[in-house]
Amino acid sequence: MAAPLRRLVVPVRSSVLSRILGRRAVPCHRWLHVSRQCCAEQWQLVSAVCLERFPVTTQPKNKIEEDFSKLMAKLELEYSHLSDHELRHLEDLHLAERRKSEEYEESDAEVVRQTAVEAEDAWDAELQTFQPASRTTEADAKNDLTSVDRKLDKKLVLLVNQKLGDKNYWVMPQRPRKEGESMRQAAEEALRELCGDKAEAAYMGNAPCGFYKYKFPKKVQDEVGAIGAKVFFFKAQLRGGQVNATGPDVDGHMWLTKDELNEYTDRSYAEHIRRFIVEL
Amino acid sequence: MTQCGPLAFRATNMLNAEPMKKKKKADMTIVIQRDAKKRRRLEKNIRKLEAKGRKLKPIEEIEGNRNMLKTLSMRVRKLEPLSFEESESRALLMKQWTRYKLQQHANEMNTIQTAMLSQQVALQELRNESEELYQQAILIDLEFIPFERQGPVNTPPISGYDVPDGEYVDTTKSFYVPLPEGYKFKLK
Repeated sequence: MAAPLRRLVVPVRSSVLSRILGRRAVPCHRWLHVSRQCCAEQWQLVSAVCLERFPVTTQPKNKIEEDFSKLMAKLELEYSHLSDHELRHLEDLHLAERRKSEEYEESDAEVVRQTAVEAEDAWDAELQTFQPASRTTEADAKNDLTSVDRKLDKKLVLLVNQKLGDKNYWVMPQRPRKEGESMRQAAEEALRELCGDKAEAAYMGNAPCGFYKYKFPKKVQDEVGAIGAKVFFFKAQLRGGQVNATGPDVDGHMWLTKDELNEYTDRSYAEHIRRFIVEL
Repeated sequence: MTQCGPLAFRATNMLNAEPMKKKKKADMTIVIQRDAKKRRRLEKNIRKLEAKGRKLKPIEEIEGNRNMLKTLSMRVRKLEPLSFEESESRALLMKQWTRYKLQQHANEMNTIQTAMLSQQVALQELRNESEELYQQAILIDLEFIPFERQGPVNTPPISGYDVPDGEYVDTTKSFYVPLPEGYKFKLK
């Protein structure tokens, strides 16, 4: 008897509600369902910064690039006409021939004339006075991983030794989002809090470039009220300044190339961050 | 003016206007003269065009250096013909290079695809967590432009290096249009 009654009651209630509210009433049980799912799978939202130092110098050419650039230079020379400098050299040779003959009289202009070869020597001497900076730096010699001046021809990313739970991990500087912040603002704050405000960074837009999630241990789950963290990475380029990663939650930093990441970070973490570190 | 209450005095629209100016009547002889002048100028242009055809604006890049053209015959490079081995090795290198570049291109596309996919996943995850945060994430960053970055260079810059003044003639034409102070790019 109860079942048919309930079937009768429900449509009446919803139609009354809709008439009162002037819109379609949402069945109550659907809301309940959604909220219950929410509580069971609560994740902490975390923003992280992928701070990149772009290559300062060009990459050295490999074998085939070297060979091919030599070939291109050769072809360019073959297709070219003689330059002014080469014409001058030909004139020099011609003049030297004339000087040998007996009826040659030297004009004033020819006395002070500088030959093409002499000019080249002068240019070479001038070039010798300038010493360009070395492509390898002091940091390379010492293998100083904390220096931003290492491996000038590669892209470097910043990792910090951050305390997550009880242990320290090498991760990109990260911080949970606070209420009212956007994810990008949280990322900016993370860098400021963990690496000091000396490091200038230019952020690459508002959208995250990568994602990684991990679960907390049981103890932390109850403490935080979330089963794990969802980390969203935001890209930024280093504009200048120094990273100073000292504080209660962080102990030291490293500038690593994409290939070096595996040595220091968790394997699955490295796999995720390697996806968006574009080294071309 | 108003008719009800002295405080509600106000000037009507018509009071703001200036009296209309009287239109001057043009002298007929001057008008005729002006028309004749216009016609003569047009006729002159037409005659010019018929005589010479359309005169094109000179383009510096196409014109080239006159001096070079005059001495062209002196500037021919005398080359020995290529040996068989040399031309074979060149052809081989070209083929190797093509394969190398193809592979490089494929790697680049792969890397870009992976990075794009990574971002798509991140955005989707963010949307699943919160629609509001997602909407904030897809906003265009207006402070990003103008973006400037230098490098990479062949040798790193020497810190504190004082550049000596060299001799050079800068013939580069500047097409830089300065933006007004505080200008921001607007979106439609």
